[in-house]
Amino acid sequence: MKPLLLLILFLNSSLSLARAEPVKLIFDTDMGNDVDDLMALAMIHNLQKRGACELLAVTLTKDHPQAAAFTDAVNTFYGAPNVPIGVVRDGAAKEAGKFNPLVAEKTADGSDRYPHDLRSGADAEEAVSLIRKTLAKEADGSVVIAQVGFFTNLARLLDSKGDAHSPLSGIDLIKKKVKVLSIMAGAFQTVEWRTRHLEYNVKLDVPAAQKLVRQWPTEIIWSGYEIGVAAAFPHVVIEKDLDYVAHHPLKEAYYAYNPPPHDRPTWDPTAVLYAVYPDRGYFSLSPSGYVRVDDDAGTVFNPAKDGKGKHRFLVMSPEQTARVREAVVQLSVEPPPAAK
Amino acid sequence: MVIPLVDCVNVAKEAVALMKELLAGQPDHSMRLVSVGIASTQQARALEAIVQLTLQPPRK
Repeated sequence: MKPLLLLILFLNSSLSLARAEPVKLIFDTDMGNDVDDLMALAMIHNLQKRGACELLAVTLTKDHPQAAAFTDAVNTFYGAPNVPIGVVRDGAAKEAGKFNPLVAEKTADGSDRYPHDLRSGADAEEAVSLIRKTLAKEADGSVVIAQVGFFTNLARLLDSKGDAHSPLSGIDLIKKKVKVLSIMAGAFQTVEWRTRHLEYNVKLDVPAAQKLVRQWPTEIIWSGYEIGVAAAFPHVVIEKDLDYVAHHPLKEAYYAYNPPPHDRPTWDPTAVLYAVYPDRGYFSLSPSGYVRVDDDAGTVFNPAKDGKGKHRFLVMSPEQTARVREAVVQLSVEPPPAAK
Repeated sequence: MVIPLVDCVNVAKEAVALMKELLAGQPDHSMRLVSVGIASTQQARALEAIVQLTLQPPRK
């Protein structure tokens, strides 16, 4: 009989979590343009419940008033109704989207199906101001930003000047407070035999993306289009695993966006998973280098000859892909705290 | 209570010690050992599910 070798995975993980400080997280999203943003936000709330991260703020790059209201409803659903929400002004994607209108649904007695108190983005703080305020309050080098929508807010943050929250310029504030930027955008590996994919998050605001890749002062980890495609979300989970409440925002949004039998790529969740668990082996990283954004929204990665580039992109083996998919599934479908 | 046991090449002695300590504290014949001997991607998925489900906090 071969010797039994043991690995107590859950104990290792539990002990590590108990020791670790929660990742201080700002989530910048285009909520409403694709259901993977919602998967990612659900994951964040469940990770926060475990003490793995602290959601400092959600900022939106989708310029529709229901994006903020829907985000607030999701935060409320997961027991975190007071997470600050900031919105872009004069941004991209001004249409409502397929599932943000769910926030207007009512129950038979006329109350909100998904309770929320932020009724419209018009009532929310401007995103860059909220990011500056949030960064200013945190310890140096402690904040992780996950950007899973357009580059608008963070490009504007780079241009921001000292204000009531901090005398520092945007770039200096980022240098001082931000640990790493985890981005879902671009494409860096072959997908379906294509080597150049003009990715949506880049296309919607190319000048902002070009500015960010040139000026952002911290390390940037890119989750390219190919990563989310490889770890697509199994639709059976949506069909069968979310019936623990009468109305689940992820289930209803998934059906409204692109219903089963469609396996939605997990683009945004992968950027969040890396942001919170960079050291758990879910992903491997490319060599360091620099991403260039072309005028047509193409993204090109060039390795740094000296190994000191600020950009890397995520890579997954088949085994890592299986782990990532399962982690996203389990972290997305976990029930919210019981109603009080 | 479920404890995932996995054949693996690299063993941490601390993990074995923890395992022994944990087993010693359980009632007789109360533990179930599950061997995961399947293809690697399936194994990776199964282990990830076990980890995530084990870490899921109670609903308060």
